[in-house]
Amino acid sequence: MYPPQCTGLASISIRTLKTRTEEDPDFLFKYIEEVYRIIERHEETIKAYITLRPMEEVVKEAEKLLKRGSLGPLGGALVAVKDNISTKGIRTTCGSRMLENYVPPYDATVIERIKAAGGIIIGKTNMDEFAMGSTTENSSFFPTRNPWDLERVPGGSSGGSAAAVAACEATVALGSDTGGSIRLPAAYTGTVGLKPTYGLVSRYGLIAYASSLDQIGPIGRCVDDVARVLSVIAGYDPRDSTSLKVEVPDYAQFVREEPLRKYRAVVIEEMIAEGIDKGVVKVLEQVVSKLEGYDIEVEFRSMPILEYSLPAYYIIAMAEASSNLARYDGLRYGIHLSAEGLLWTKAYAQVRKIGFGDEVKRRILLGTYVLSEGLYEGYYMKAAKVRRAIYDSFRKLFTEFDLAISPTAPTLPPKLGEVITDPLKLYSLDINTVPVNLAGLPAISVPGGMLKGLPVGIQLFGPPLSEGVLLNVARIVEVIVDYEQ
Amino acid sequence: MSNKVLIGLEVHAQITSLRTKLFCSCSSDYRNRKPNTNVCPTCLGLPGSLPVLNRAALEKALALALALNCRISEKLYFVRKHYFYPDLPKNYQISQYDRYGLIPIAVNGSLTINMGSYSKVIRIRRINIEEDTGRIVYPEGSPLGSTYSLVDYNRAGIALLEIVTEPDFSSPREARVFLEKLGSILEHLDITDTSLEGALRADVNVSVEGGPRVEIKNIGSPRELEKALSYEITRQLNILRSGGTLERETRHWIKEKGITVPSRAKELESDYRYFPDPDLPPIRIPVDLVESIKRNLPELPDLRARRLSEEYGIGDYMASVLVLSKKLCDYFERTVKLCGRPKLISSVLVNEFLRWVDELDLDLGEGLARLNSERLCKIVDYVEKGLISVKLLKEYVRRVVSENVDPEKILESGMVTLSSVEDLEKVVEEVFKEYPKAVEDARRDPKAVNFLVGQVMRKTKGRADPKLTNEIILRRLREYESS
Amino acid sequence: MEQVELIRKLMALALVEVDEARLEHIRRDIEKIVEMFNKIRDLDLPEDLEPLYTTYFGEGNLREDREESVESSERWELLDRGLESGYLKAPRTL
Repeated sequence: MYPPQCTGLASISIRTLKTRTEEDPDFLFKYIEEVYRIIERHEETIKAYITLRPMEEVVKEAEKLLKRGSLGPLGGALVAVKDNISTKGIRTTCGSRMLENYVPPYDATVIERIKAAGGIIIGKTNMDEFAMGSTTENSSFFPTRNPWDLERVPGGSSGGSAAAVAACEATVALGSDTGGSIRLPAAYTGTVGLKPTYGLVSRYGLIAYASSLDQIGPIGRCVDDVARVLSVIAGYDPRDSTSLKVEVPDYAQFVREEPLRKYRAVVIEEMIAEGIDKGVVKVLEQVVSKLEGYDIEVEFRSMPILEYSLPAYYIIAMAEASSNLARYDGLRYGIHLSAEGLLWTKAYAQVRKIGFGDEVKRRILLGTYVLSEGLYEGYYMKAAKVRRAIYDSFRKLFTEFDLAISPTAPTLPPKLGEVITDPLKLYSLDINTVPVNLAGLPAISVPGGMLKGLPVGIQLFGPPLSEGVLLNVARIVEVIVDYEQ
Repeated sequence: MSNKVLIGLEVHAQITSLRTKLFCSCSSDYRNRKPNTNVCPTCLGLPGSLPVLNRAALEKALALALALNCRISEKLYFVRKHYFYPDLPKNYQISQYDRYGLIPIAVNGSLTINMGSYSKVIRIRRINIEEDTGRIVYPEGSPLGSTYSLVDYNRAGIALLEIVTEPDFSSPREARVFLEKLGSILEHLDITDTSLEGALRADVNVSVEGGPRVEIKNIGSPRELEKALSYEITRQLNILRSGGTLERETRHWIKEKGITVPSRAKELESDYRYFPDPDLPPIRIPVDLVESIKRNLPELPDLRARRLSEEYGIGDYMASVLVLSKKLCDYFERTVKLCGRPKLISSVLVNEFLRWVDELDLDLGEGLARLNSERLCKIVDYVEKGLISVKLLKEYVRRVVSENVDPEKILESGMVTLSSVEDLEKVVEEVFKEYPKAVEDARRDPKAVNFLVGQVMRKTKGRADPKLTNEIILRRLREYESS
Repeated sequence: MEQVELIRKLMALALVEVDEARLEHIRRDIEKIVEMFNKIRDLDLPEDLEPLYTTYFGEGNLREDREESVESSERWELLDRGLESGYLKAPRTL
């Protein structure tokens, strides 16, 4: 199911694009034209892109790709890239005034791999400033709208990427996820979003928000697309010290409509408790009952420590953010102010005052607070201990179960302006997604059904490096839900 | 007043023997390059860049830790140390820390210094691995009067080892000897070439009479260290003696003026907000790596000193001074291979050469280049041939070191030992005429002969053969008697 | 108004300033969030629980000490701001 903007040719999957283009190279150009037609018609209202490459440029790249002889695993797919991922020669703003005109001199590792695999970068997508937010309303430039309901948010912080994919303004997209920033927008826009195991995908070139939590991941219209992109971007990168030296399988092989073996799944009670909308829980329950038809056992367990996951997450994320954003002083890149005669502290303060928005400033101040002398042990260190407790609890849980299932978001997508004025309300949107980042686990959000005309996402997550299992079950959910429509 | 003095050192040594920087593959050879040409996204701290540790840096750090008898940590932890400054690209420095359950790469070591009449064990508190900053220069040459500054990031990210001692020094000289010995260990381990500008830097903490700690920054050599400490201790004592009070502060050593001045930066107020660097997860330091490094340690100064003392018979103290510089003791062994006479050569180097290099404020390497092995052997050869006395040898050494002139030239200019009895008698006559009173004294008191000998030496510009001169004078005095 | 003082201190430490007009607003938000944080601060945890700072579980990535030359033209791109004889112009430090 696609929102009204997405029609015809523009909605095809990577597999179809690749197969049809291999048969007839002209098909790729037809496809590109169709996508740009949609963009022309709808991008003005949706505003998923900060920087959109002109069609001529994309066509030229398609021509070069075809000359290469092999289309690669991505087959000419048009990839929308979240604007916190460095693209050489293409402006990369992080949704912030601070980097409004910053053009990176290098490509992120994932971008190198996308290009080598036959992907074509179509543009850079809108996001909450420095990835801090859950609705994309914190972008310094403009908000992105949910294609399903233009009065509502697409989620965040990868809202632009999710909206572009949902509205078929791109084939697939790359987003980043620190506390749910891929999964939440995927859930709100009815797309599939995957956050890999921490360390599976290189962070080299990802403009950091919270380094121990950030991961880059794919967003697509179907599980198969997401699996293909993951295969391309995953794998060891010597330029990232947190990159895992593991064998990367061909993830497409897991995208099957039957379970590859017997799975035991768990629903954690705290993830369907009072904070979660009853309608959303109902959608989950329907999916769960259908899964049992596939011989996937689902049990219920309680994990009380999860009550502390939101505050622990925000302490850690804000602390790391305050550190990662210290480098933005306007001296080497970013906003350029005349500093003649000013003392460096004054010059830096001036740049950071106008370069950062309120939410970013708030998080930097709070992050500075929890790291400061005398408070470190009570806040940051304590939060890290809670993190350890959550990590250990999940480790134990996943000796008994293969995966966990939960609603991705606690509610339907809010209206624009509804949650943005109350930070705690905003943060609570992440309640089911942050525990996954704290433990470094892989997770996927897959559409689980519609409620009041809006998409509801189901989150599947599992032990480290269980992406294969998650993709398998996600495909099954996809089949279940398609059947229902 | 008891003049009780507490001195502690914080030394930063660049690992100059690495080919690349600490966390990126930029060249470690940053000197003499156009500014901002030895940079990459990582050492510039561009958005999205990440650090990856240089394996060889870890190995060098472990070697130093072993050489200083430290306890080596099981895991390698890095922290971020936050402050804002134009030469710090990320506005935090990647370093190490010793609180919150974190530990530097090595702690609790020791280094023994030989002061001649006594030895002393200096305790090493810790060794840190950390990255160096860029460099700031000023359009007007100094911060005062410049409305802006200029930054060069070529040095940003260069690997540093920070070595911190306990406040175990009780004199500037001890601190100097320590720094020389540490420098020598770093050279013997092929970690640091201390002759490179900025490769070995020291900050020192000093307090007198149990008073507050004053930190002095910007000291670039052992020689400067001794000077700075002497100045500062005197300054502090003067303040106390005149009834003033001292306060905890940071000062800068101004080499050109030979003074310390208060630092303007508010160094003490910083809250560095240390926390573990999430981009560099802790890794286990393999035990077999440490074992293998231990097995392959080169000959270190202490062992070398013992060997030099035994092999060449030059005595422990001489040996201990020679090993304070790898260049110096390499030179010693080379020269002795060339022309033997180890006792003479070691004495010349320790008692004469080093003194001149100090007084002339010469770089040691430059001094050894001037007094190269061939030249020193030539001078020794002159002594063996009887052309010059040992006393004249010292004069030769002084001239070669200060004027960079070939010994042959000095010989040709006539500086040979005056041993012609005829010539000496003439000079003795002159001296007897000039100093009749001294002659009278000498007749009565044999010790006063030295004065007369000294005058002959002075007149002959040191060329007179002292023994022969002595004999002639005694003979003349006896002749006096009998006449 | 101790909290406002605290926020001013944090602003000076982090070099992140907020207009006087917005200070009260930010202070209220920060107060609420710190209250949420205090749940963690006041939580009783076992003494021997080790903090977890990263979920990376590998053996470590070390880099060989080998120079990798960046294309010389790329080098200059890296700092294309006002350079003076190759140096980057920066504010006063004194």
